Amino acid sequence: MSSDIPVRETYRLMPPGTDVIMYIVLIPFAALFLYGIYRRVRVYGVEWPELFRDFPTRMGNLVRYALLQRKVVREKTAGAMHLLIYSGIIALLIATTLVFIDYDILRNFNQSILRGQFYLFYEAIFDFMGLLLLAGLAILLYRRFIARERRLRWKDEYLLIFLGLFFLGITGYILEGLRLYIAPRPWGSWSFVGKAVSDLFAAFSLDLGAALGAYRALWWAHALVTFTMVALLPYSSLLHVLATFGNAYFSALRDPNPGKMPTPFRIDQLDPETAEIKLGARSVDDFSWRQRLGLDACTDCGRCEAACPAFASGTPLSPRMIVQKLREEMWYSKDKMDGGARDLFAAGIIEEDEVWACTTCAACVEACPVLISPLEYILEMRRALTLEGKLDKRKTTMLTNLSRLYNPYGLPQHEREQFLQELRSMGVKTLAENPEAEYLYWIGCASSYDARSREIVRSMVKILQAAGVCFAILGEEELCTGDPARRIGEEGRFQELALTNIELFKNYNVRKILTHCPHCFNTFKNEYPDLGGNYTVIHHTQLIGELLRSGRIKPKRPLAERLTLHDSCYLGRINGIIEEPRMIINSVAGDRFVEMQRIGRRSFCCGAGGANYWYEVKRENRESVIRLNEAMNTGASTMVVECPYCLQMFNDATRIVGAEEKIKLKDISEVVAETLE
Amino acid sequence: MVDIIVCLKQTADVNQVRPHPETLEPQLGQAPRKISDFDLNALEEALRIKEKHGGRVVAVCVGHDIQQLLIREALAMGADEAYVVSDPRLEKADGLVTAETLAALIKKIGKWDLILCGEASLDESAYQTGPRLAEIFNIPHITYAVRAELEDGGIKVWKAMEGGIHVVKASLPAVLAVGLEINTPRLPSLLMIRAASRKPIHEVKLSELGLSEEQLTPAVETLQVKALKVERRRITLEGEPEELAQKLAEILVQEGLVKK
Repeated sequence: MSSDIPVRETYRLMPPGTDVIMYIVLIPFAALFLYGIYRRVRVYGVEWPELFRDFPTRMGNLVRYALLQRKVVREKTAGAMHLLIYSGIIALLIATTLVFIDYDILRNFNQSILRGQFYLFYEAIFDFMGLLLLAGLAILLYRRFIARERRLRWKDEYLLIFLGLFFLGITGYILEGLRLYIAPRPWGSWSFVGKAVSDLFAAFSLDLGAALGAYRALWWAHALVTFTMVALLPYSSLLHVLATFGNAYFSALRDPNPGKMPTPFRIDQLDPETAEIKLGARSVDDFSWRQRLGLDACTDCGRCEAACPAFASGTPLSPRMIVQKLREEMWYSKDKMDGGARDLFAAGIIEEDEVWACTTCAACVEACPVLISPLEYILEMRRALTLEGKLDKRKTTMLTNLSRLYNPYGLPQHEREQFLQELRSMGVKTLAENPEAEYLYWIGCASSYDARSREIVRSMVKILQAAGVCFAILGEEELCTGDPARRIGEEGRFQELALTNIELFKNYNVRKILTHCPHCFNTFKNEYPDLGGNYTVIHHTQLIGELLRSGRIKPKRPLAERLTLHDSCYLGRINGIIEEPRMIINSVAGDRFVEMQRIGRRSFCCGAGGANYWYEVKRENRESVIRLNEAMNTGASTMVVECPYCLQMFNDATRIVGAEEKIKLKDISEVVAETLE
Repeated sequence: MVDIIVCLKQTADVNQVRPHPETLEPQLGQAPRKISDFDLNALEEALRIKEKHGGRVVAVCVGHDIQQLLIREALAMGADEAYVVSDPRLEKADGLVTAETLAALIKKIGKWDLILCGEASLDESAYQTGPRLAEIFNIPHITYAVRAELEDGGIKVWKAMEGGIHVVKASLPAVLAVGLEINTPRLPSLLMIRAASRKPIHEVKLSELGLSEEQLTPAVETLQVKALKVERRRITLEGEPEELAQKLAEILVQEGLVKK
């Protein structure tokens, strides 16, 4: 080969036969890697027939969220860090692959791609990409040691991974520098970093023999560290580089809406004589293979924890720790290959209050950059606990209330007689009286039994009547939707209530359901279809928005107060209804509407969701108080909510912090009704 | 290994009992029924003993119009089988009749080491059945149990008494009557209740028990039960907290609710 054409000189400075020795040395590392992958796949217990179902959707997720990391880059610093390290490593992998193609394949056919212009480009580009890797690692150090982000956990493994990457990045340049120092090439400056390093050696007039010795030693060190990292990939957090792709691909097996829990059986189709009584998860074996694979995608980044309201309130729950502990259990405890896994609760791996503290707000699902849903693991564990039935007094009472009185409040049906009487006097008809009504207005338990929440109904009735909407209520026939039962894990009781309601709706030929409760809304809209109940479900914010847009109601008396809006989890994040309430508030308050910092999909839970309204978990703070303070920081004198439970939680919070005079709580329908008078 | 009998009573759900608007008589028949709360505590305690020491738990239930579903709830909680006597003649049963009927039924079941029951029933609160049962079998009984542990072939029980807890021991067989504080009964999930239909419920006829007319005649006759009609006085006090406390204290003393 003539030396005036730039060309990649692989193994130029290594003793002859190094290539063969290297491949021999590689064998055990490769074997370890392959065995590790095989073992992981065995632990997951992948069901192969499911591999290619829904292929386009799955590939779409894989490209968007794994390859392009659309969710990773939502955070600036962490996103930049990961993107730099990720692209740096991928680039270096491509660089090495090109060498492999050039040397180990094409060379045998007397061909070469790494020559001429392309080779120069190759050197410059990959020198640059190596810098990206080092820049990413620098941000990593910044986050760990200067910014000291609280959510970053320390594990010795993480230090080793960092050192490995750093070593590869640095030694790559040193090797290049030594090579150019020992055997200078006219095109050397294309490798601009390597050239600078070689100039440094020249400045110190490094002994050529020593340089060659160092080169060869470092060459092997570089190779061995690379091999080690690859070999250990399936045994360490590095596995996330593969598992995230798998998880993104298979995430389509889970419902994309975190507000819809999977329906494991139909109680009306179950034969009690033969059905296997099993529900939820008490061990890692009880999760599905996709869920086990998902655990390996977790990088311990802590974004879910930072977003979690239960964690912020000092409960025992951290969604990150749930996933990490399950992952650890899957790795180190007995796996499927050597007999069953341990009982998570009996072995003390998961504390019961960890799963009870979850408000099912799905902030963790929203935050996870790699499409893990910590929520789904939590809900499965709740199901297992509830199946066994050893719950504390308050949970037991709530479920007993649902089974005996058909509402979680534990108030007899006749408690609401007076209120229903009042509604009748306002001209509200029941479906029995007005079967032709367009909408069934579903009141919900909160507004049936809680005095303050009844105000929402009064306001809604005013609005509906002003707009001439034809609606009716169920009156005494209305029961709970079953949401609190399902969220606490009592699937059977949920289905019993749901099936009763569906039967009732069928009798009345109900097609459109209007409700002001986001939990009822979510359950009807997302969960009833699995049980055969398909309706057009409308939240009152949607209907009010529509009435304002079409001019069927017109605000007459503008509001004077400053308003801020709290997005309810089950409306905003979970069901994407974010614009409607803002449109409504803008049309009645205009520029006196101020936003909090965390809004829309990033809103922060009031603490009541997931049946948490009905029981207590030990805690240091309350979600509602944290959020109320955020609302007060906007300077607003009214906090507008869209959910009767948010209303009750924040009302309590104002009493706890003594802010009853400073900030008022109103449902969005109350705000609108006020402007109509 | 301890074999335990748990006595369950089906009562009206008192939270849902409404007084008749005119006669003020509680309309027990209209309220949904449930297993008396105390008896669920007894069953829970039996199940905990079983989980720790092994053995069988048999539920027994006597009364009128016994609902199968409620028995299945008990089986879903973990009882192994149930014996039921449902007869209209037991509608007016008092502690005496109930204890005689239960005893005759239990004699048919065979071997047992311990009888657990609630200290009272949710609807009538007579505190009779447990001690009477022990007298019939001529075995020790311990009431008002808030904690129980098997120990050296006997049972050690923490009894809630006025002024403190008494710790007592009894040899087996014995009758234990438990209070609400002893535990939180587990709640059978609907799935478990459905599955409990695989467990046996033995229906025994009252006539098979060989009880005499005397044994089936209540010793107590209830003449009348009426709901109290209480009107609140709705007194509103106004002023600073210190004044309010002063005024409230005066009223309480005036009413004789607090002694000076």
